[in-house]
Amino acid sequence: MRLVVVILGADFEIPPDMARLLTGESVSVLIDSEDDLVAAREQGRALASQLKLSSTDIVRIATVISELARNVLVHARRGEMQFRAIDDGRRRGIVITARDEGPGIERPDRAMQDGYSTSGGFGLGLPGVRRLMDEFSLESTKAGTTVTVTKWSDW
Amino acid sequence: MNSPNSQPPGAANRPQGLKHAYALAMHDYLACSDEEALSRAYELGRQALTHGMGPLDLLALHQSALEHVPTLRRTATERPAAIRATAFLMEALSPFEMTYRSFLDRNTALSDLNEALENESRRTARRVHDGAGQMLFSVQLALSEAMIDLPQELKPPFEHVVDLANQLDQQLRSLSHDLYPVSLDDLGLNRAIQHLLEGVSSSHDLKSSFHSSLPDEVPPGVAFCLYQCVQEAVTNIVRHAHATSFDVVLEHDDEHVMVTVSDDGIGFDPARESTGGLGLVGIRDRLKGMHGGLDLKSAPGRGTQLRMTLPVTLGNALQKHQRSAR
Repeated sequence: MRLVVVILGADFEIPPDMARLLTGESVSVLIDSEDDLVAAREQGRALASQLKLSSTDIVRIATVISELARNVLVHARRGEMQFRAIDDGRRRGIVITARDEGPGIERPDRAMQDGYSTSGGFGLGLPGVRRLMDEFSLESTKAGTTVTVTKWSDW
Repeated sequence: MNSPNSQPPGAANRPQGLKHAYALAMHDYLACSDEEALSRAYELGRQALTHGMGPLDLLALHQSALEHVPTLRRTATERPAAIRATAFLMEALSPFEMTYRSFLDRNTALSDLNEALENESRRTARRVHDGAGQMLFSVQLALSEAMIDLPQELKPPFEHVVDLANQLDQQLRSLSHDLYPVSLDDLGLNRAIQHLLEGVSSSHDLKSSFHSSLPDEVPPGVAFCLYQCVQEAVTNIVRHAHATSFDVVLEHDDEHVMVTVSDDGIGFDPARESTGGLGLVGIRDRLKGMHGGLDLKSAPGRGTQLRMTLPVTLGNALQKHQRSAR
């Protein structure tokens, strides 16, 4: 069976990975270049629209993927992003994990403050990601960094 | 893609490259609506943000692209292309949403800080007024008792000390009052303002009237701001207006508190007078800090009316007021 998802008038074919995603398994994308960033956005957007998140939430999810992948590329050079559908009985949601084995964030508390983010005073980067998502967690050691975010559907 | 004269005025300092890049990326996106093209939109939005552009500048980029992207010109009547172009714009606007939310958060942090500073002034004013002020009062009392049985020829140096203590008392009072008028807490907003006006009336031989339909239960920050505005407005009257009387009215509707201070003085031409010289700057700044506004009416020989408005939702305070009035 071929599934086609319509996003704002654009047709995307469901990649084979999607079948696994919808059963609750996670799909990983290696982040090693700008192309991988695009692949990760594609994966996240396909899953989010499959979960019937609103079009603005889908834009937010793509945004978050760009920011997290950018962090991986800039600070660790390479890493991995994981996408998973979840269901708490009332709502459906998407969990996105970005993991790298870079040098880690020296002061995670500061990284979460707007002024200290690498984007200056614009509130981009991790503080921006936290504001766009429903749940956010950050773990960083000298062995690497893991950021996990969740966005729930509205209903 | 772009004729040399098509650039709108004011766009000279905007990075030209971004305009072209946006139009080019949108053109590519319309030809092939893949994730890579949307990702480019997002990166363009991010660049626009760091170039200091706002959402409207970005819309102008979008508009210009709509006019110049050939794909779109050919398919201008077709809905899907326009809808997809909007999807492209949404990606580019997304960084601005993050910034917007961060500004909202920081706004809240700033008003919290402002409230904390105000509470600090309040505590300090209270300590000066009740602590140092009371102690000085004891000193003045002890001095006058000590002087009762003093021979006349020994009194002059003590009288000098009494005089210094009185000056110190005046200074402490005005310091405490400038930090925060403790009468606001002790008497409530309406009686504190009344007290202030009575003081000004009697010391400057002016007639005054005060009417208020405002409950005392306004948020402390608002009460402080109203008090200070009335105080500065009345100080202006004393200094500049040559008035014989003035009126102060406090009113409210569902969303605002209004203060009107009017006098029968010499007035002035608001268009010719620089407002800085009239001490209105302080009032304006205070109101601005609370998202309020100032409206000034005056003409030579016809007095002056200042109308100050503060947005305040008095929901709870007013209900309480109305309950207690019943």
